[in-house]
Amino acid sequence: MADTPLLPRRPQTRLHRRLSGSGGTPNLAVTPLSTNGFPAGLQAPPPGWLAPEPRPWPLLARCTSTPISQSELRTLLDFDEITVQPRATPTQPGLATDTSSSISSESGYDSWPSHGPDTPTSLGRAATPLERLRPWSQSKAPVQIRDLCSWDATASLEITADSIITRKRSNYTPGYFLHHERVDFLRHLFDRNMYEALRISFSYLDPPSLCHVAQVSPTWREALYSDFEAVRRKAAFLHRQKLNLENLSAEKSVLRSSPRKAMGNVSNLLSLSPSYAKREREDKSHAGHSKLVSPSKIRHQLFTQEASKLAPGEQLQACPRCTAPSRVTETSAQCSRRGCGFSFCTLCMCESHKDDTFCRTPGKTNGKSPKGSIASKRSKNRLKRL
Amino acid sequence: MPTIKLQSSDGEVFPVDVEIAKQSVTIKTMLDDLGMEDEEEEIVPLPNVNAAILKKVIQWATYHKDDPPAPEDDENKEKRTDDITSWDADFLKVDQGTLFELILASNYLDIKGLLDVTCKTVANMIKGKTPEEIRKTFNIKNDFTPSEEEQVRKENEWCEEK
Repeated sequence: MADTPLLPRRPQTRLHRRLSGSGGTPNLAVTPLSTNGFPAGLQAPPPGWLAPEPRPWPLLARCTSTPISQSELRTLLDFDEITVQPRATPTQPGLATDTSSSISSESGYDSWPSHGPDTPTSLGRAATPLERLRPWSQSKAPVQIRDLCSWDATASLEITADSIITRKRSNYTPGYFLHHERVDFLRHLFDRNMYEALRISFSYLDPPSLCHVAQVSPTWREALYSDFEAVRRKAAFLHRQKLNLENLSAEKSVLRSSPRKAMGNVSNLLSLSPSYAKREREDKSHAGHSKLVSPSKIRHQLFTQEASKLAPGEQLQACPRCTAPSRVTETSAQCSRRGCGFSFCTLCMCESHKDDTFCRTPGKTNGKSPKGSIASKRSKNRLKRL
Repeated sequence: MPTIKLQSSDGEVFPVDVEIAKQSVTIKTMLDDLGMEDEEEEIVPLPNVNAAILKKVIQWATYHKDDPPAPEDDENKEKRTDDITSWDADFLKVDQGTLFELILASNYLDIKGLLDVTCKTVANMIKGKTPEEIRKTFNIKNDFTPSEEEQVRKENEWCEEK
């Protein structure tokens, strides 16, 4: 194929099929239409065949970036407007790709290697990574085809929207890859439209590996997105992970349990009812499930737990030193925190009076009576003021 | 036992048992369509497989000629990758280029078993590796732009935490 001049084809039908979406197989390997390179039924070049105006091509190049309307294309792709010049330097036969420097070798798979800047070739450049990431590539339906004829050397001569957009490489010499130490498997499989092989490979990968595959390179990502099943598995896995790690499920269950239940424990008056023991058990098993408590609720949780251990009639008070829940017995209380264990008088909030049980310091409740009691001398004085 | 002659891309001819050759759906379909006449010494050209690879494929097919047909894959179950038989594992102890050629050949010849085991080997090479390790394994250049890489990383960040 090296010395065959690049001959034009009439890509109308293929393009139209692609645009109308009925084919649904944008990456189908191309097959040559006729042997002489002219549209079927033509023995000689039609008039204006080699007219050197490159007019249609800048517009056609928009295929890579912006959508092109069908009517626009129909006018563009009349075959006598297409100008294709014979290639200046033939490609090396069989060297479809250069695996040693995998991505960088542009000429390795360029079917139109060296043309003037205004000819179609310069526009059929490789899809940039950005283009590869574009959404249309993700909606590609996996196509299962056998590449029986896609390696045909003449296939690369056909100019289609496909070859302009994604530049599928199609010339290949059997055995070219032999003894290559490293091969970019997914890229070469994807470039050859071997979706079946890709599908099988992905089906053997667990979702975390699929996530890693998506992060290797734009081409690998695109290859992964060509397999619907793999993408579905990966997305489902990511969704599950997100739920687990954000602890959304645990939070939901906390919200669902009514706040009244928690307060009931604190007051501990329900301990007399027979259903309490059962409820407590339920609570305990429930507490075992959600170990994580948000920092803003940790004190509430502490007090709730401590309250569930109270005997009937007992109550809790915050420890004046560490604010941990302390159990109150009559006038003294003991902090429940193991490191603190402070024993204090509930009236004066100071260290408990060991010898005499009477607290001489006026506490919060004590201080009230001399000041505010009705019929005291002070209140009578106030009344006199009126 | 009738034989068939397979010709590789570089002209080498391999006489193969028809039953073995029929593991390739491509060859089987061709024989079924054309009809098989014993007397004719016809040569089947396989222009997409070279001699070295065709030899390996025939070797694989000969060993697996009595295998039962593979069960239909269950879509919902995650498939195992550690069940490659020791013979296959030895057979596939080759460089990546040869492995890739085997994938191409088994795809072209449509030999499901061979395609399956070769793809499984590739999957094993990918499995459990970080993206950077994968790039190193297959000599891939990271041609994400920084912003794209950030976007892709963000998209997949949940897979990292266990």
